[in-house]
Amino acid sequence: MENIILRIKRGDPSHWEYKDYEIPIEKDTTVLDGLFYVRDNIDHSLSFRASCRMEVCGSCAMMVNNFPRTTCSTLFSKIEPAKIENGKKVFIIEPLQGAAFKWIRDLVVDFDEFFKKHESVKPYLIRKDNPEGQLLQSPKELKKYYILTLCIKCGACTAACPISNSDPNYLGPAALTAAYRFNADSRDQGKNLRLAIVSDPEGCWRCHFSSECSNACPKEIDPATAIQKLKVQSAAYELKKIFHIKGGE
Amino acid sequence: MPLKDSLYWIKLKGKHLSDGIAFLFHRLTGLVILLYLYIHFAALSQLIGAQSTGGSNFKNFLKTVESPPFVALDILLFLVIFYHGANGIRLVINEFGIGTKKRQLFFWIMMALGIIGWILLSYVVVNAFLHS
Repeated sequence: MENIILRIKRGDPSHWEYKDYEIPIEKDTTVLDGLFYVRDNIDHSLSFRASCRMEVCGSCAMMVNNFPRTTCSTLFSKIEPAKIENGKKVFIIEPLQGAAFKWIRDLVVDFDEFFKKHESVKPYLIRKDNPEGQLLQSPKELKKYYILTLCIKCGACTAACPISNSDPNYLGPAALTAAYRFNADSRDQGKNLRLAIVSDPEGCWRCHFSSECSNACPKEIDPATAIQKLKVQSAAYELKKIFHIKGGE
Repeated sequence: MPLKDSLYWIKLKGKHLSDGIAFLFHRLTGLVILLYLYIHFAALSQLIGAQSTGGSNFKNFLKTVESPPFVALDILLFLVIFYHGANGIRLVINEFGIGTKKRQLFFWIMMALGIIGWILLSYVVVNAFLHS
């Protein structure tokens, strides 16, 4: 058991400050455990979002030492402290940063913009026909996109992306990865609908491959690679459109 | 884009030099090359009307830029251009969806090639300068 300092950004956009809370941790204490300890034992007014506590719901992503992480799966013992003061490790906790997230209070941000962008790429199966029964798929076809289905929409990729943070109109890595996930699905027939959306200058071509999204993703799904593959699809789509080849619209 | 937002370019989160920092350097070297192009065109603009003046202005300018400090600056400029070029080629290949999983290794290979190119070109330029 050791005591550490949690330095938490408190307040709202009109008035905010960093407040220190000293908490005890053990080897397997997560950052989220630390936040619950603060709320239950020190300051009941602390606001943060959390639900499943097992990296499934994507609610608890925050900036931990200036790096976006899902706090339920981040152990204090596995990350470096931001600094050491009076012999105690200091961990800085802030709300998710970036244009896609509107800060509401303490560690809570509004995901509206983030989900609007996600919705805009049509992240669902689109069929031109109305099939009866199951849509069959081989394991090989499933493997093409399976890893991308693990996205929990926590927003860590978007908070890490330097382009998302500097350009509020950019669709962002989460939405683009979702677009590629459905384009790569053999059961889907809406590829061109999505490509028309993501081929926009604020779509996949705005990505400059800094790969920060892949570094931040807690599920290790590598959004950066998905976006580059989407660019190849987008380029083929645009060329087909220019030369009026079947497949472009 | 507001200038303050571009600060996010340097608020790096990446674990690897080949990701976030490579991105930042690529942007900064791009700006340096753009600035150099403006200076280059401004210098060349001295040739306008050179026929009537005999090009004396431009000859004087050439004497200045052929001095050792300017040659040293040129060599630094080569480093910037080779970095931007080598990383740019990596990005183009990666953006075709090739080698994205091995991007760290790919980055260092391209950097090694860029440095070899920079050393070779610097050697040629310094050699030419010493024998001029």
